Amino acid sequence: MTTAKVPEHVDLGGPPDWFREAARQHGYGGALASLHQEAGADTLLCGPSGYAVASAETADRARRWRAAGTVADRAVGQESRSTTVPLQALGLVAIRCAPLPPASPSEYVPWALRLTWLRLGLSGALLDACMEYLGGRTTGGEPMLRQQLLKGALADTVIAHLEAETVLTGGGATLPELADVNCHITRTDRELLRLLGASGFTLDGPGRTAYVSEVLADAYIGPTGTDAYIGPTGSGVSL
Amino acid sequence: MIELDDRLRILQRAAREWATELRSHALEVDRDPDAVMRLLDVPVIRGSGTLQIPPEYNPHPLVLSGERFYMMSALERVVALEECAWGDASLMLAAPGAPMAGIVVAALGDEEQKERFFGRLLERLTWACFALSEPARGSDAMAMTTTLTPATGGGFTLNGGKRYVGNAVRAQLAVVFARAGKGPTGLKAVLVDTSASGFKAEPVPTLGLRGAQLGAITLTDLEVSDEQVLGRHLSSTRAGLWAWLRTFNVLRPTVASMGVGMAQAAVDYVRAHRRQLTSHERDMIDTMDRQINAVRHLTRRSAIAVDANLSDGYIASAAKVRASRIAEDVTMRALDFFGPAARLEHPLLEKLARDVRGIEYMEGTTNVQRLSLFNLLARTSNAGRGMGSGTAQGGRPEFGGSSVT
Repeated sequence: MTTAKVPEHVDLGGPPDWFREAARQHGYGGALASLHQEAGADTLLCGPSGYAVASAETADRARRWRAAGTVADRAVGQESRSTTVPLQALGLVAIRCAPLPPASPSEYVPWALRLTWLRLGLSGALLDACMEYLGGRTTGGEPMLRQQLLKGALADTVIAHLEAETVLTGGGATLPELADVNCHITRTDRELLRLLGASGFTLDGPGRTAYVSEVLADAYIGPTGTDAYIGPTGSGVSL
Repeated sequence: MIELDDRLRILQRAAREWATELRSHALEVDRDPDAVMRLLDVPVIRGSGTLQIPPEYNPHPLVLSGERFYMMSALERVVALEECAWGDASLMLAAPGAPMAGIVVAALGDEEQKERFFGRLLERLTWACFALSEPARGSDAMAMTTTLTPATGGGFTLNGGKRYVGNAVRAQLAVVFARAGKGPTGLKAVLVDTSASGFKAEPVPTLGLRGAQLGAITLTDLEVSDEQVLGRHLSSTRAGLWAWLRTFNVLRPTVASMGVGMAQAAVDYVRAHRRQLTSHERDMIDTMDRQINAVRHLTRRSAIAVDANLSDGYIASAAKVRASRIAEDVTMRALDFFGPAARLEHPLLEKLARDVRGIEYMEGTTNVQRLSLFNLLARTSNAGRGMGSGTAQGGRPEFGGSSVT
């Protein structure tokens, strides 16, 4: 295995908020592939837990992995794969390529920023799906979108998105701030899913986008206030 | 606070043993909902097929320490199902029996219908589904488009589509809701054999509670005899919406108890798998325990209220809202205890966080319950008089299931 220190300042290509529009317009597929692409040719981007989440195609093609501050050739025999039922059904894989990376939060910020923009885009797509779904429904003969309960819930989403956008715009957000934004996005998505009724619970509906988004946050960001990786054995390891 | 008496504690202890068995198969059924067919010899799975049958039709109830349990009261259901949901709500919902359809048949069926329906459940393992929600209309009763129309030569013809029906594909029997006329009294329920010509069910894969195997049902010129129409011996008022809303009041505490059980499962998982907890983390866990306990007692209170008066479903609405919320919050917070990649390295917790979302959609969404509670407030408050609407549950006539308001 070859390992190399990554230069501190990396040209990550286009503007981070590109990921927002890409995800909002086209879903997680292309945006996620681009995130890995920006990590390097045939490279899997790993989060602070060492996991990469990618399409099976991207994972099969990748020859290297990249974590904060480190790139290395893949050693497939040393990797561990994990999955969930929905991930498997959606053709995504989670591979722990990297050992726990050394603490280098500043080098991870650009990736976390891109991932957060991506998730904000997916949340926007979920809002779009809610508007379309509710716009086509009536209750008691009245359009659902005239109901104040729903108007309030949808307006709360707009507020959450504006706040997230503000934190992300212009650079300077720290990892804890990005973790907070991601937590907010997850909660916002969960509220939106409530508006979709059971249609948000199906594997082929908008709920799958929210689910993938949650898994991405989990693998690449982690919860607010987390300062340790706590594996399945329950023992904490400082990052 | 509402403590259980000795009899209910016996049931609770037994249910905890069932829960352990359910838990051992939880991930298998999540991967493959059809796995339940390989688990039919598991005692709790097999036994569920004959639970929840009224005493007059059930000569062989569950007997524990000399106590007989028919599981027809909301409180018995709440006590047992909280524990079972702690084990695995998904597999519990996949088990044979008629936990929802049976309530409707017990409430609306005549003697012959009840004997036929419950006799079938006792005779052999049977799934009976409850087909109410419709595509794009959810459980909005007034918007229901499935029709029950008189047929030339007698009987009726059933046409329409249902969606998000638990166990639809497995079911041999179905209680199907349809419109036979205008207004609340025009709503009917019919008992259908799913092998009948014109009945087609297909699975609708879900993100969570996958064992329940939601399905979509298509009804095409399905012939229904007079004997299959539930409530035919009742007045149209008693057989209509009013009676059904009372039925749903029984189910809401049960759904709430499932949320409580899943929330408790998440907290217990954290305790079992996080060896090193800071004092702050221990405080967080204790707080979650207390919050769950408050909802547990609210749920029991709602069950007692419904058992005393089937029309008294307001506390059940509150319990269901709180249970849905606490289950979602606690499972998310539980994941946070394990840091990044918790969803990838703790499959049971990851599954719980998916499954709890199903609580929101069963027996009326949070917004449906909130509107019902507001209507109660409007009717009982001097300032609010005339502001609410006036069905049995207080709100727009909507049963529950998958509607979004």
